[in-house]
Amino acid sequence: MASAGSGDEKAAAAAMITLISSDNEKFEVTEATATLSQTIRHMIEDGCTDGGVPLPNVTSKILARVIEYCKKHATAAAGEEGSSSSFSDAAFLEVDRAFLEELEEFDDAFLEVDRATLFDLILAANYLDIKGLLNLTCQKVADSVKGKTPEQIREMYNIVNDLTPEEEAEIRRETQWAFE
Amino acid sequence: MSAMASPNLKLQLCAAASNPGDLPLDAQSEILLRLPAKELCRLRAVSPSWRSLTYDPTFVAAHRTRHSELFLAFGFRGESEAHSVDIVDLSGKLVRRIPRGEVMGDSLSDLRPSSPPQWPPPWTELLVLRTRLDLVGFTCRFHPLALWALNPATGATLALPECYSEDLETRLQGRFYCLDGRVHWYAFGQVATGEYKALRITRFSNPWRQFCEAITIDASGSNHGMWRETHGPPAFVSAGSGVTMGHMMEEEMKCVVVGGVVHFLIDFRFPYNDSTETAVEPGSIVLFNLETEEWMVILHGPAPVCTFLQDNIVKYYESLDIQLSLCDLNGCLVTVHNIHHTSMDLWFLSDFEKGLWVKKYSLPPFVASLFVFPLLVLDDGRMFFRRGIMGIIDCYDLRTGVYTSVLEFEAGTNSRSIGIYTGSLLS
Repeated sequence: MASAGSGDEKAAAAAMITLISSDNEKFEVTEATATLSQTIRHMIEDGCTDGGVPLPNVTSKILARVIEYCKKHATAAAGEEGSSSSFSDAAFLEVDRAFLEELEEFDDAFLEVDRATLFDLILAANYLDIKGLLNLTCQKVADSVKGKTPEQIREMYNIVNDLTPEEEAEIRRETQWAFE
Repeated sequence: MSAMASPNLKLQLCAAASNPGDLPLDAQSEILLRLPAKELCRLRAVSPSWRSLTYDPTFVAAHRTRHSELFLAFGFRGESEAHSVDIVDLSGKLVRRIPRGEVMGDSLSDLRPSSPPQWPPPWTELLVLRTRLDLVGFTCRFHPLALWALNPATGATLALPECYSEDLETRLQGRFYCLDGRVHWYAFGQVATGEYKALRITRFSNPWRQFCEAITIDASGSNHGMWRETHGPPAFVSAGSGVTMGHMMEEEMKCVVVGGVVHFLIDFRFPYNDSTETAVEPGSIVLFNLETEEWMVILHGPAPVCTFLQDNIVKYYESLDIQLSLCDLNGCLVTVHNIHHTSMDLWFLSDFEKGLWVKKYSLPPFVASLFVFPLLVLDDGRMFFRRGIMGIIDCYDLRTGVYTSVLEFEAGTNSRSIGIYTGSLLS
């Protein structure tokens, strides 16, 4: 049963999908890579990927990055599946740990982008419904506001303060403990 | 604004992508859901959209699901008698200090005529009840009839009626208040309907008797009924040193609420009751069902605890009494048998009907010190304890055997009585 399953996976992995960015650039990716996106997975299941998948919300620059992420994580996932059947437990754990470490390093390096790119990646991950990428990018933004005052956050992200002084005073009263 | 035509559209899109406020709401919510409650409350002052997003009930519910961490709650007395309830996370960090002015008696009714003068005494302190709830119950030493339910997210308290039930008030006619009507202990729990109930054990002398009263708080935690008398316990329950007494003594962890049932160790040391009472086996437990408000059958303790005195060289019931406590570990009732400097045996009640106890853990001698009580255990195997007269919080890792100190309380903390807060701090 296991061998039949992996045979299917191989067949699926061989199938290619064409993704088309908003600026009309075409990207050929394997189905295993593309299906990290739930949005594309559903399109494949519905059989509407012939002639390419247009992604009008994602530029070629961002799509290239997204595909880079998906390729790495699809490989890692496939590697893990393979290793679970072909290694002894101890060896499997060792390989598993190495994979995770490598993946972590990749993710850290992947996040070394400017703020505009980071937000574009969030938009793309949100639109394409790629859980891992959304997690990764949102956590990065969340970490960046941790421990900051409202003023610092506004300054950092050019957020216009359109609360009236009265409103702001009220919020501070309501949640005074959070400012202590 | 609408005059901005299509040539600017691309520019606008570019600009939009540098400000989290311009991301779609679900993406913004994805970011904010990752932050702890205290951070979020501060971020409400960033912009109106973040403010409304973080007040949205759907968001609050999603945040609660994602941040299911537990907090410890205990009383604190700061400078110039400023009392508060402290909420601390399991890494020992103070997350929220909630001032509680009512403890100093502004709202407390006048004390009874037999009370000593200069009341309340200056060393009054706030006692958090031993609960594991999304509310924190607390009372006050020297005002033991006063009981409050605190919502740590909003900081709002509900004051319960500071009086006896009518029936008990009648019984007290003509008696000495300093001997009779003394509050021994409170238990506080939640029943299946979502309502909360508090149970009060009150002691009478001559003959020694314990009376029992209950009160209901609705599921929202904002309305309460009146105290009413229920049946007294079927045996004299161990209630530690009581609420009023023993400010130098430990809260001995003789009572715990698990799944809507209050469990009390029976005080097997003294035959307070009539001589016709049969002797009680050490380790026996009486149970009060908060939902039906009835006492259930007496539960026998683990066999080796019952026969500990016969099987060992320990001669005194007092020594065994000080070794025993009850605890809720992952929703299971546990009899803790702390054989000092030898082992701490944790007996889990695995089958209530058959009265079957299983010794799941026997912790090493360095854990089994005097006055060490388990508080809770996490899924990752970390077990938290309250240790010693000063009430230090320690952590023992069941997988690695590593024993570490998590938190040393600052002066003024009443760590003898610790509640576990299961709710969120976001409201």
